[in-house]
Amino acid sequence: MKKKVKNHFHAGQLVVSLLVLISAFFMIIVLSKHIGTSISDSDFAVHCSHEGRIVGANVGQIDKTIYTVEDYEDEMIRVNVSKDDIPVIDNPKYISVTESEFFLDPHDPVFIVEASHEILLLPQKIMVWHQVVNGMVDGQQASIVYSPLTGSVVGLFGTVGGRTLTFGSSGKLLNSNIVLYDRKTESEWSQILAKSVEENEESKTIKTFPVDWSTWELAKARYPDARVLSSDTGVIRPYGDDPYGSYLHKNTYYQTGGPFFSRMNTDGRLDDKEIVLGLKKDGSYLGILKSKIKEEGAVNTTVGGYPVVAVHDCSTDSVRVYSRMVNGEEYRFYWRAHRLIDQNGEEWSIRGAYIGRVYTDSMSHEEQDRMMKLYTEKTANDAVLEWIPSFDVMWFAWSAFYPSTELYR
Amino acid sequence: MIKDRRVLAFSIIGAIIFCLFYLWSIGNIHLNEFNSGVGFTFLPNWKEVVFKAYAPFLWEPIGIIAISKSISIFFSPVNLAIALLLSVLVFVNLIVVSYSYIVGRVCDIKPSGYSILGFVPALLAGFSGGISTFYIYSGVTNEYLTLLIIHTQPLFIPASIILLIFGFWWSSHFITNKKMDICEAHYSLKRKK
Repeated sequence: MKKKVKNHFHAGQLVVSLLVLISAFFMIIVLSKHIGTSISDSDFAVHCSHEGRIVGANVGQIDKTIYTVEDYEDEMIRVNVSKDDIPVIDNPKYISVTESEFFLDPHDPVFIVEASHEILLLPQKIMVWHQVVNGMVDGQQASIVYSPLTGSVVGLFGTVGGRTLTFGSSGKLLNSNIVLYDRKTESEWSQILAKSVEENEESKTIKTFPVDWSTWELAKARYPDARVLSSDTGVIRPYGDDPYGSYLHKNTYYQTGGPFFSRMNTDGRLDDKEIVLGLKKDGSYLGILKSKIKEEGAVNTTVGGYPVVAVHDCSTDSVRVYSRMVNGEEYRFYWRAHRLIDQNGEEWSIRGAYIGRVYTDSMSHEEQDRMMKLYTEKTANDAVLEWIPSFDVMWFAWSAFYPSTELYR
Repeated sequence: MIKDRRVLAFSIIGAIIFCLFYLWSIGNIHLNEFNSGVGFTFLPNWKEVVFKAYAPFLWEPIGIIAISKSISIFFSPVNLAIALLLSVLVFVNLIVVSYSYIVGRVCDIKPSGYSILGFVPALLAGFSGGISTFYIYSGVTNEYLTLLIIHTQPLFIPASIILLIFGFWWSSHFITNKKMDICEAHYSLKRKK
């Protein structure tokens, strides 16, 4: 019988079947990462041909609900992740642009922090595994907080009411948005709200600073001397594998479908994953469709009646929002010949600094360039537009936190 | 049956493939460009993090073994122990399934679904380890299915172990015995004739 067993065992058949089955499954997974859903280079192209065309408009608010701290506390959820399971970065190490080249692809998203004396670049492929970097910005304790499920990155200064905060990950979500906790008091804070979501901390709102979305290709070209967050983070993670989706492929969580988890409000004015620039001013809220800002170059609008302008920076493909109030006067801004011009024909830098009167319709480009150089040297920083706290965020999350938001689309 | 080299080879290969697949699915085999070259790196604070779980059934890696620029192995003793446990269970399942298959061939019993049933637990275990990875990369974004997977993910590993033990029991005590009985009856009949 034993001999017969040996003779009748067609091991090859079984081995081949097994290998084919497992290999096929393995290949499907690997190939699905790389084939069919990739975003082409042209999709990443930055279009800067905007010449002041106005294509969007405010569509107003549809709901006047304002949530209380109790509402937020009721809505917070925990999903398979405990406090500090997501390891935040407390002692960030930075390396040069050249040293970072080997593991960053041109289209990889990076977040730009423009401090006074240095530029920090934080690759999304590292941030997605840590979500918080605690460190110093302009000599102050600060945290850069990325919430992948809501596509939002916010800079938070760490001083509130005389206390210095450092944040850890609570493991909780609110409208899919990261909930932080302060390590000293254990109080919980929402990234999008930029305030505590606990009863006793209700009045405390944290000051924010701008963090811009860009790509590695654009950011390194604009800031070749920037310091880049190192993958030497103190823990080991598969940087490059995104646990939620991909910004280099289509039809992943970041582009389509709804949020995974419950939300406090659903607003059908836009698709859930559309990126808006969410901004707050004196209790009023506005979402500006990011693609419209890119299209128009400069969007002059209002939030709760207060005049603001959203400006597209072609060099980094990012967007900033400024107040349009200058010395008590309301300004309007336009794009002319690749320059940001106010209604008086005076130029402003993309970072809101006054440059001077360099533009008239009758001037040639050469004359404009010559005048711009002169005025830049003499008058730069004489006047600076006030930055309005704002950040990129998926529409579903913005409208879930702020049902009363206006929308510019 | 374990003395049969082909059965042994088949089962070992199957278990190794499973082990590699499992480690890849939990991110401990990393296939993206990540390192600057071949080498070993160990965390200086490895003693503090070696038993720290950061997700259900996932423990902190304490070192990186870079095989090339784009292939790295993250070394976590606990994850590796789980991978080995699952692989051993896959191995014994494959041994029994192979033997069941052989017995069937010897006795000229037409292949039935029973043999395949014995293999199913091993296959499911492999899928369960990688299902969330597969789901994300597949690009499907059905929030209800995702939510189901996220909520049931902590059950995947225990379910895999139970399935593999059940599969082993099923194959060894039911399928193989049944086939052996049929075989004996078949030979007795032949001898009588």
